[in-house]
Formats: sequence, structure tokens, C-alpha cells
Amino acid sequence: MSLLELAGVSKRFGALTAVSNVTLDVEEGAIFGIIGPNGAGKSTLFNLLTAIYRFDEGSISIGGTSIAGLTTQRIARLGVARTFQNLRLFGNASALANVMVGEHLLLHANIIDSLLDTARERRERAEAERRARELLRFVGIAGVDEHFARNLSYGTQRRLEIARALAARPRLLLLDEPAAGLNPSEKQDLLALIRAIRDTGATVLLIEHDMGLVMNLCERIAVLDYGEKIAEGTPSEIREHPRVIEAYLGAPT
Amino acid sequence: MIYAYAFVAIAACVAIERFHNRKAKIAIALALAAFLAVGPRFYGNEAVFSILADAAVYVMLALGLNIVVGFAGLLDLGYAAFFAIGAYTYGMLASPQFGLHLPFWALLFLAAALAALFGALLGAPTLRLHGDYLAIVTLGFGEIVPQIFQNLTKYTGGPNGIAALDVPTFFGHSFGASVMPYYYIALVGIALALWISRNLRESRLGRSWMAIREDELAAKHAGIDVLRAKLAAFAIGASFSGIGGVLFAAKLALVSPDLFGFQVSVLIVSMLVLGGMGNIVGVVVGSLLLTIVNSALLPQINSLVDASFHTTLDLSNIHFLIYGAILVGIMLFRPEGLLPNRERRAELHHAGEAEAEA
Repeated sequence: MSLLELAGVSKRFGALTAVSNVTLDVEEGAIFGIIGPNGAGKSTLFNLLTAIYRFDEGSISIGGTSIAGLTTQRIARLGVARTFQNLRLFGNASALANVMVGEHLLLHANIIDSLLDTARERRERAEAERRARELLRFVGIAGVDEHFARNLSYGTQRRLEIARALAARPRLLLLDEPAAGLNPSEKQDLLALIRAIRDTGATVLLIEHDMGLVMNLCERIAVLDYGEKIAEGTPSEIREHPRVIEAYLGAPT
Repeated sequence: MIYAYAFVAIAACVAIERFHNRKAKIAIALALAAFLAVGPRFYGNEAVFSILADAAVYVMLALGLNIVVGFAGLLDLGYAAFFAIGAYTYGMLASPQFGLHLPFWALLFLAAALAALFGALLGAPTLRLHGDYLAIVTLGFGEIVPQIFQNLTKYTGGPNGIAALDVPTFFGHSFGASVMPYYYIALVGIALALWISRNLRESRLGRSWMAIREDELAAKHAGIDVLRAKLAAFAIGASFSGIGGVLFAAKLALVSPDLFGFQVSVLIVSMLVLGGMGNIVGVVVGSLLLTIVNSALLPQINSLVDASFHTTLDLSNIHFLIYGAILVGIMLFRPEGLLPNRERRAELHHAGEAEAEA
């Protein structure tokens, strides 16, 4: 069953068509990769999925619900969480607090609970904190709990952002270039982490430039070029695909 | 005398901030509360406690604004508007103005609710604004509200305001001319405001505010209802100053529009900046310091100078010069405020490093 369905989705910025008539199906439980040269519209596509931008044409549905007209926070309620190409952590807050914000939708304390520090607020906070510590361990950065996000190393910040996204227990996790700026050994760890995430039941959609990682990790890959989907298939199909080779290396003369 | 109280209070705050042991913090806080409650029996006079009661009202205002500016990161330059709304609630409903003489205690709650309502109402149009734009719009609201009170002459007494407000009673005992009841009520108010501030900071709502302050887009992606959280910040912050306004008006037995001008908003923002924005204890220290400088130190220097040089200086004319000098000094030497929280310190020190690198 498809968790995410895009049909004929387009997004224009003035005369520029950033995403053009893209149709895509992502199966539940898959690790699905989106690749393409710089400026191909990959991040724009992610931004359409979380309503940072509104698409001009087509339809997008997540878990059978159309997201047309929904706000970012409503889409989060559908079980979508993401990371960003240029990290967007809460820099002046502890790693633990960052992850606890990710748990926002799992908690039910209302404004009265917050004002009066009621039993429900305290119980939920203790629970949230315990889960957050667990998640930090899960992504492999246990021990940084009390450190400020901005003081962490780049690789740790990347993992922290993933932990924050996972805190919402998403059905669909969007990772925007998770391996950017990581060294080879960190990339290996990331590979294992993303597999472990999928094994918890989440569907992973990732944008990535690192071909080795994508080919290793993803079961299916879609290739964007100038906003259009020029190919889709398994890693070996993509590797052989003439239009993909053309897009990356230029047309043979 | 007043300096003794102020010094003890500030020293206790600094100690609370420096100690890491939770029990030690609580012990110091309780000792301070006991000192402030019992002290008047032995030491001090009405004039001292009149200033301290005013200082306490300002501490409440600063704690309220701290929720909006320090927690949620929404720079509000029109906060005095809610102070005015609180004060006029008492002024109009407990005076000969309409012949209504509602009880002081009920009006404390009513003013808090009204101020919260207006906080949300005035906050609503600004929800999509950030930074400078938000500051300008709130500044506009801060100007509009006193203007309305000034021009609705029929209801508010216009520029003259409303005088001869009711003297509150407590189980049938009139407060009389003493300022002590206001001092004690304001202390209780501060204790409540501190408790609520602490609760909020650690709460789900407090974390939402932190997220909005740090990165609004990321906050939305976590499913936080940003507009609602911002409205809650405006409303809760305003409610503190609604209560402060009632206390202030009842103590002065007078309200008039010029008491709630832009300078009051600026003064409260200055208290936050001086003390350390976002840090509850720092805010208390900042507001105490500025009120003491304002109401005790400057008049004393004034009379001292006049007596020694046989002049008739009026230092109150250069209050803002002195505030300005203090603020410039703080910004130069300790941009994070006197008692910053970890967040602000990290932020400002990193900003410095980033500039140095660039």
C-alpha cells in the first residue's frame, strides 16, 4: 500500500517551474531515495510535502489524506516529520529539550496543566524526558543530553535533528541530505541508523547526493532533473538508465 | 533603609542563581520571603514600603513581559497598554465614576482576565509578524491604548483620569492610608508570578515557546500550533500586568493616561535587558534595581546635590539619560544581562564568536 502518493504535482516560482508534473508512489515501510543534480527541485518537493510551499497543480496524499490546503502543523499530525538540508535545531536549548519538542504531539497537557504544573504535566514531562534520552541513545549520541544543540559537532547535530524528528513517532520520515558534511565512518553509521529507523516501522524518504549511500540504502530511487522526474526504479535500474547518466554526466556528443 | 531591603533581596537572588543545589535554593527563597514578610515589623517606615510596593508591582510587570519576550521571543514594545487596562479596570469599576464600587479582590481577577483578553486581541493581528515588524506594531498598540483612555472623556475622565478611587477592604477592614497591605499583596503576587513562570518554563507550552523563539519553521514541523502558543504568551503575559495595574491604581487612588505611556513600556523592557532576558531570577533583579534607582536613588542624589550646592536641580528630567547610560553600559560590558540564563549567554557569546570568525 502506498503511504505517499503524488500525482502530477507542479510548483512554479514566477517563470521558473521548480517541480514539474511529478508523479510518485512511496510504499509503506520503504526506504525511498530522491536524487538529482543541484537545483533539480528535490528540496522544493520536500517543501511541498510539509506545506512550506503550496503546490500549483496535482495532488498529494499521505496515508490516504489529501494534504491540499493543510498547514505544516496539520501535516505533522498526519505523522510526517523531517530534517532540513541546513540543520534547523533549537540552538540555544539542550539536546534533550530539542528532542522533547519533537514529542509535542504525543503529549496532552493543556495550558492549565502548564500554568499550574499539574500531575498530568509532571507525569508527561517525566515520560517525555525518558523517551528523549532513549532516542538520543538510539541515534547514537547518548551523553550529550544537557549540551546546547549549537555547541555539538556537526555530525552530532545531524543525528540530533533525526532524533527530534523520530520523537514524533512519524509514519513518514523525510530526510533532506542526511549525509551532507559527514565523514565516511559517520556515513556508515548513518546507513545503519536509517535501516534501524525503517525497522521500527517508519517509511523513509530521503534526498541525498552521496551515490554510494543511496544505492546501498534505498530500495527504490526517483531521479529529478529540472523539476521533472526522469527516471524511477531500483538502484541497479537507475545506475544503467541513459537519461540519468545524461543528466549527471552530460549528453554524449 | 530601602537599600537594606533591596540589597538583601538582590543578594538572595544572586545566591539562588549561583547555588546549584535545589534544596539550598529553596531555603534561600524561603528565608528571603520570611525576611520580607517579617522585616516591616522591626525596620522601615511607610515611605520605604511605598517604594518597595511599587518595585514589587514592577517586578510583576517584568515577569509578565518576560513570558512574552524572554520565553516566546516576541518583542513587545507596548506592554504598558495592559498595565493601563488593569489600572483602568479598577479606576472605572471601583470609584465614583460610574458609582460602581466593585470589591478590590474581585477586580484583581477581573483585571487579569480582561488584560489577558486584550493581550490575545492585540496579539492576534501581529501573529504573522516577526522581529522589527512585530516591535513596531506592538509599539503602536502601546500608543493607542492610553490615547483611547485619554479621549473617551465621558467614561475615563479624559486627560485628568479618575481620582478618589475606592480604598480596598479586607474582610471589612479598610486598608486606610497605609501602604503595607499593598506591599504584602504585591509580595504574594510576585510569589505567584514566580511560581507560574517556573511552571511555564518547564512545561509543554514553555517548550513550544522555546521552539518558536529558536526556529519557528522547525516548531511548526513538530506540530506546534504556533499561532495559539503565541496568543497564549500574549494573554498570560498581559494578565500579570492586569493584576499589577489594579494594585498600582488602588495604591495611588488615581489613574490617568500619562501614567502608562511609552516610557513605561521601555522601562519594563529595560528591566528585562538589564537583568537577563528569559531568566526569571535575573528579571527580578533587573526590575528591582531599576525601580530603586528610579524612586529612591535619583531623588536622594537630587536633594543631596541641591543641599550641597544650593541649586534646584531636577534629576528626574534626565532619568532617561541615566537609563540610557545604564543600558549602553550593560550592552557593552555584559550584553546577556546581569543574571542571564544559559540560553542567552550562549547565544550572545556565540554571536560574538561568529562575528569574529567572519
